[in-house]
Amino acid sequence: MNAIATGHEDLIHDIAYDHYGRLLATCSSDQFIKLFTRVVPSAEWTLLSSFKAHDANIFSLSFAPPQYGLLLASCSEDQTVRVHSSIDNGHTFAKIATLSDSGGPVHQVAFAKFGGHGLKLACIGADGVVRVYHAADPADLRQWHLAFEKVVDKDGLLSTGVAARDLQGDFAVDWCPSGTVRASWFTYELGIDMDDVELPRVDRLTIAELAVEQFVASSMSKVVVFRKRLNGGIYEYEPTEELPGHTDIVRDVAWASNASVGGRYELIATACKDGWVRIFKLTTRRMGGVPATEYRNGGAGTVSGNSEIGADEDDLGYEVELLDQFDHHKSEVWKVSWNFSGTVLSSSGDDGRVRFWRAAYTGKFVGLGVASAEQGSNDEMDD
Amino acid sequence: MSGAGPTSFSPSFGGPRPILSTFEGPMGTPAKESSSTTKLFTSPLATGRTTTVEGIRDTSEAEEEMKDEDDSVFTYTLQDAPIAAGRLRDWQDRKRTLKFTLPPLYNSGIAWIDGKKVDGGDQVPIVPDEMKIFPAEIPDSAYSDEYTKFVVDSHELYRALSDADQIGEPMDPSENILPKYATTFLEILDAARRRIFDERLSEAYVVCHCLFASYFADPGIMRAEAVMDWLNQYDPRPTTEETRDIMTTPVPYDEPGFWELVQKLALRGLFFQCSNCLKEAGTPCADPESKRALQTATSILETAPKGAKAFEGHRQWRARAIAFGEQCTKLLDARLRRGLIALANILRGDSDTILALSESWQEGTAALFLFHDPAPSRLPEYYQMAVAEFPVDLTVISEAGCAAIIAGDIPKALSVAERLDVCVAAHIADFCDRQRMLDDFYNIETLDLPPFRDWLFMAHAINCCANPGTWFIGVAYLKDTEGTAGLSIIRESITHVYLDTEATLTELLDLCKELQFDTEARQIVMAWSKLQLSRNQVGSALEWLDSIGNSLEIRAITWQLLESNLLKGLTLPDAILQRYLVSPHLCPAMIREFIAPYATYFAFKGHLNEGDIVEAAQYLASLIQFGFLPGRFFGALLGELLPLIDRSQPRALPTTELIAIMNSLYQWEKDTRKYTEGIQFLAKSLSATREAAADMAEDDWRVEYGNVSAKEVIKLVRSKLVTEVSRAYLEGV
Repeated sequence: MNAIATGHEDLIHDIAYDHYGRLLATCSSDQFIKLFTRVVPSAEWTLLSSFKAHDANIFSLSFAPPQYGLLLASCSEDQTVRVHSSIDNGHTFAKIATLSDSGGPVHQVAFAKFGGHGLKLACIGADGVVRVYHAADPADLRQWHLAFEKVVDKDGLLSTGVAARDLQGDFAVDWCPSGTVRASWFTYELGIDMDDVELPRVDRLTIAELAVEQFVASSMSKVVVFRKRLNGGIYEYEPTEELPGHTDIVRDVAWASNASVGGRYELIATACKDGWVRIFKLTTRRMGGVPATEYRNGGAGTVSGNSEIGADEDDLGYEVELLDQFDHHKSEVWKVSWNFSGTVLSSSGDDGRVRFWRAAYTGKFVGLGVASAEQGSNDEMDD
Repeated sequence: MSGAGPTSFSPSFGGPRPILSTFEGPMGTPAKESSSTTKLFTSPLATGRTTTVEGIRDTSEAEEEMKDEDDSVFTYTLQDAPIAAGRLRDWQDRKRTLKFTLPPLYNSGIAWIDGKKVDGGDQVPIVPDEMKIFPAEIPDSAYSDEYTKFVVDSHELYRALSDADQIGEPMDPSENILPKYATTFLEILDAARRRIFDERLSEAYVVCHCLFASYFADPGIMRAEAVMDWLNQYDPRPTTEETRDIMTTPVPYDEPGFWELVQKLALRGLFFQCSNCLKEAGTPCADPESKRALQTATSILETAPKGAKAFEGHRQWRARAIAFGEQCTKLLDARLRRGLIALANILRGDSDTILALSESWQEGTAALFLFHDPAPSRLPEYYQMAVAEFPVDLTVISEAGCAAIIAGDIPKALSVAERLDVCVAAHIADFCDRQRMLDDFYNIETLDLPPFRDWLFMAHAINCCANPGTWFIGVAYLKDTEGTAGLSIIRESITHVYLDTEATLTELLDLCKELQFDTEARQIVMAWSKLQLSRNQVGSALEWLDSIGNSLEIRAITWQLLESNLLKGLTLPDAILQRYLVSPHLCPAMIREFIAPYATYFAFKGHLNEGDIVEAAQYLASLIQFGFLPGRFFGALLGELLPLIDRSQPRALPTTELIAIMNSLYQWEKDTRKYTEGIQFLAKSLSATREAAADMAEDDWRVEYGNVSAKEVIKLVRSKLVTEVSRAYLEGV
């Protein structure tokens, strides 16, 4: 398909698809959001609507799950997150909420991808603080309350939490797409082996699901998993594991669906300024109070939960393993994105190429192909 | 080793080596470059070991090494690529980067150009390409219409086979249905590759054909014949042109390449063509022995055992060939003698002759299998003999796959096929699985991995799910896989299927019911109800929400209906909603309960329009006094009261109602929050009148009071209520 002129008057900073992949929103430094619709059956994108959404550069967009209607969140250099709603299938949008708790430009915004217990929205900005907002009443999405906020890490940040001006900061956040942690958690909770339980397959799947909300956030070179845990009788988000080994600013994080591996483990990909695409494998384990294991030479290895994060003896946690890492871009990597099943990862960056990686039978990732934005690369072997 | 046979071939045959060259230096075909294929692995095939999970692991590990060292993966250019050829560095100097994101379900994402330093502003002027977005597909995953047809046809065959086959039960070989279905699948694949002209699909066809010939041959033919048929399709020799060039000359026998043609036809099992060549070559038969030898040769060729009984008759036929060879040694004509002895050596399965005349490991293997001893158990042995002479060209994926098949390493063959076409790989894996050919593969090493067949089907199903029109096919495959992964993938994708019609919705909900996906069913219904709302099908939305018992959402919608009507004036309800408003007994209990305030307002407006002021006033009064009325609506409803309590009209409300309303007004004003919300809403309502005066119904109360502030409206209502009470007192009622 041909390139599409968006009509923006400045650089595009982010695009987001709606839940069905039928709508596409773009945001730009021109302070506008534009909405495109996929024409069936030609699959081409045509402009549906355009509206000024902020008073400064718009950095990131996210669509809410469709059970909440057509809802789009945006965040901006103007230090706000705004929620826009459409009741006419995207032809017009109305701003229904402005969230302005950030102490600096807001870099990324992400709606939780699962339903239940109201709608949640995470964002992270130049103050290095990840915030989670909650709209408890799905019938009134004008009302949001700040449910959680925490500085991801002070590394590279001033004591105020604002990134040092001489540093080009970056911050990212992404929710675990399923909102559930599956069989492995069940196994640990009950101290049994699922394989020993004789149950119909669907029952096994159903009872193995324990609703756990979790997301991954990056601030500068730190990447931390946050998970809702029972703490003093109430469930609240806590930083639980760190994804180590990044030697420069992390540009993007993406949490994959664990469906294709039957929920046996989670996969998180990161894009880093150090030129590496990293894929971390998170397998459920008891933390057991084990202190953080030294990261092995920046290569594939295993690290346990970060003691600094405070693991208790009986806590469940993830064993973090660097499953794969690729430096094929040979330059900064800026974006990573998973397909719906967590079997294909795309990465893109300064080399002007989109690289695709696929899961092989053993679970490791191998090169699948390259889409080049540089003319004259057709059917070539990429070197 | 037989000393007979040709010592050289004509160039027209593409350079098969003379026998002596068997003992010369490096051999085998040079590695071919494949434009769209990938070097796979350093093959262990030559060792003939039966690789199972290690073989698969080898593949990925070798690929890993490959990607580190070589990175030779398929590259394509984005349409309207924004970076000029060779100008990447310039582009980078502009502090630009490329970003890309995948959609929730489909295989086609969007790339765009972003600035690298978003924090500090960007001083580099923008060019038009930087305000474009660039669609990009995951390689090898998007279906064309033609390929979709192949996927659909394959699935239909798979379903039919699943219905017909009883997995797990031992099958009587004579009742084995797999060859029939394998043949059909091969036909479907052949038709697809001819329609699509895709190099990889054609290579997948070669692998599939090789596998089916080797393991799923029709019981009516010998496996060795099937393998030779595969070779003759895959790499037909001699070509029609080569045969015609010789056989259309006045005396073909005199042509230098005549015996090479005869021997090649024999080597390829093309017995009748070979016999016809001998008959029509104008061979000079100066003596009776020569004539008899030619007759014997054609007789042997024409009586070559074929079909189901071929295996039993092979030994006897081979004995005739051996005897024929001995008979030929007595021939006087040296050229005729050498040619016929070489032919006899082929027919009796002499390995030296066969390998010397062969041009590839495939040809050598197939010919040894056909002539030496067609026992299937000996096929790997023939393969080893052939590859010792002709190394496998592993740079051609299909060749690597066929080599694995012939060597008996089925898992590796499947992993190779998967690189070519995952749909083909999954289906041939299914055939292998049904024939128990993968049983040895499932062992302690694969405990943590899904069955390889299932993994292939999952990979195929994921592609189906990510392509429009084949989602349900993907689901059908996933349901047939072991473990929970298949169901998890369905669960992950089911809510992403666009609800274009109610039929799609019903299908999805049926599936949710079957798989007990209660949460997803609720999400789908919720999403559908939102879509219906956006289409102004409120009644339908309420019905669907009622079906999942979502009282919260029903309540919200019914209040929104009231709100919308208070702001915009009365709007006509859709057919379903109208039915419920007119005939409440038809309304499901939960909807009836929550729709009551809106229904009351609707009735009020109906009576008002009909001029039934008293009835209208009673409905409005009851709504104003409703204990659960949100405070924000109170002021606007009081405003609706204004025309009804005007002295110019007959009295519409009894004193008790008037006093009750005054009491409600007093309570509302006492609650600061409710009062503020109510005043704000009333102001918004009045403002809407001013903005859309032309669209306002003439009898809308706001037409008269549009320029009055919200607080003044309330003040006016209170005043009029007091007046009405006084009026009632004066009138003695």
